[in-house]
Amino acid sequence: MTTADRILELLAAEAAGERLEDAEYGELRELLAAMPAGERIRERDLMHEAAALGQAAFLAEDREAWRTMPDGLRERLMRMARARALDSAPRDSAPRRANWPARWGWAAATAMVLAWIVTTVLLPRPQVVPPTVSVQAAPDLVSLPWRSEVSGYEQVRGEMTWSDALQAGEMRFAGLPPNDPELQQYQLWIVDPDRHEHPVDGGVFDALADGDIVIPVNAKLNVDQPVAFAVTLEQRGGVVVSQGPLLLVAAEGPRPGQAL
Amino acid sequence: MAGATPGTGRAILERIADGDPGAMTDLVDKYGDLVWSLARRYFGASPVAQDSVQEAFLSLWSSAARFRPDRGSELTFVLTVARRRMVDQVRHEARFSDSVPLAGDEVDSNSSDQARLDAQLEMMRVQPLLRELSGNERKILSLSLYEGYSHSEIAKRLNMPLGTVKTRIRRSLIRLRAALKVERGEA
Repeated sequence: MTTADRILELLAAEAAGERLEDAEYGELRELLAAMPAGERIRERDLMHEAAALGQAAFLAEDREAWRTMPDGLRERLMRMARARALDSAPRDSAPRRANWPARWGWAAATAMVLAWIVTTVLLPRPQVVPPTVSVQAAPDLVSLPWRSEVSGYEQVRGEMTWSDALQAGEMRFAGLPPNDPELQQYQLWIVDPDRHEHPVDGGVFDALADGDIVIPVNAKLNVDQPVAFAVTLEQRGGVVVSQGPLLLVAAEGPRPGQAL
Repeated sequence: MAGATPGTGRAILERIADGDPGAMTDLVDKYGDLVWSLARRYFGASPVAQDSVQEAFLSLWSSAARFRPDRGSELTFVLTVARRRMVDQVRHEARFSDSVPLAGDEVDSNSSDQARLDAQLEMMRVQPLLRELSGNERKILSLSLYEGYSHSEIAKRLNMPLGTVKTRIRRSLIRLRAALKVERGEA
């Protein structure tokens, strides 16, 4: 059996919902990792499409299978859809609201009320990092280029910026291969050996379309002086401890008084 | 293309990706019954069926930007995302069968609803793909993809070795995939 045939066989098993043995799953991961990212996603998508269309063809033949969604479920979905649409609107206009403080001055009282509304009601929730401009203006901002020696990632450009003071940062990428968010997500790791024995989870993210993206860092723990940042590709939702290869690394030289 | 919105020529998923506030409810309107029908095949009348539909739509709303009209229809995208979410859930949930229908869950075989007819017509288009398979292969694939039986359940039901069932399902899917590539001119 050729490698291509074996990949198809394992993808078919996965798409059919078969529970792969650990060895088979590991084999599939290795075989897919050797393929260019775009081709890997395309092959996987195509197999899942074949399964979905096969299922749909059976459904089309079975008139008795057609069901009308229960009213309660439909109403719940509609409520969720409307709430989600509303929820996305404030994010779109967030930069405008962030500039509101600059417009005050004509009436201090009004400005104070506005400031209170902005800080307590409209600003992003606590787990969201401060706006980009704040991070980039931090006096202790560190900027490190992404590097990779992994096939398919050598072309990735961009940088990791981090502020110890703000405990916030951003990942900027150009040319990051798109992931399949249904199955896998990129995960950031922050290496801070003085404070944490294991790398700190920096959050999961997706690279869609052309891979030119800016991602705010969402560190799960406080970090003091990170010496490196790394990106892996993990199962959807991320993992607690990564076993995967480091696809991208942004690292600096030793800080004064610090041994690597 | 099945996903195009009348009068706009643009798929609902493209509108979601562009931030059209009404597009997410439009997606539920158009594909809700279809996704529900699929969920019923996997989970019967259990509450898990409703949860799986909810999860499927959350996933569709989130991944709308991945839809590429030049690579396939909106319906195919909806089916693929919804099915993958349900397969994930099947792996974690017991399969319910022979359940009592939920209140308000009506068999809809005589519905003239335009959206449902559109979806059904497009799905009829893919039926020739199944002609690539022998009767026995179709039977096994139907039990797996459509009826939602596990491979060991199929082996027991058809009195076949588990390995044979797995092999036939894998080969049938690979043949469907090849037929799909030919139909799209990608072969």
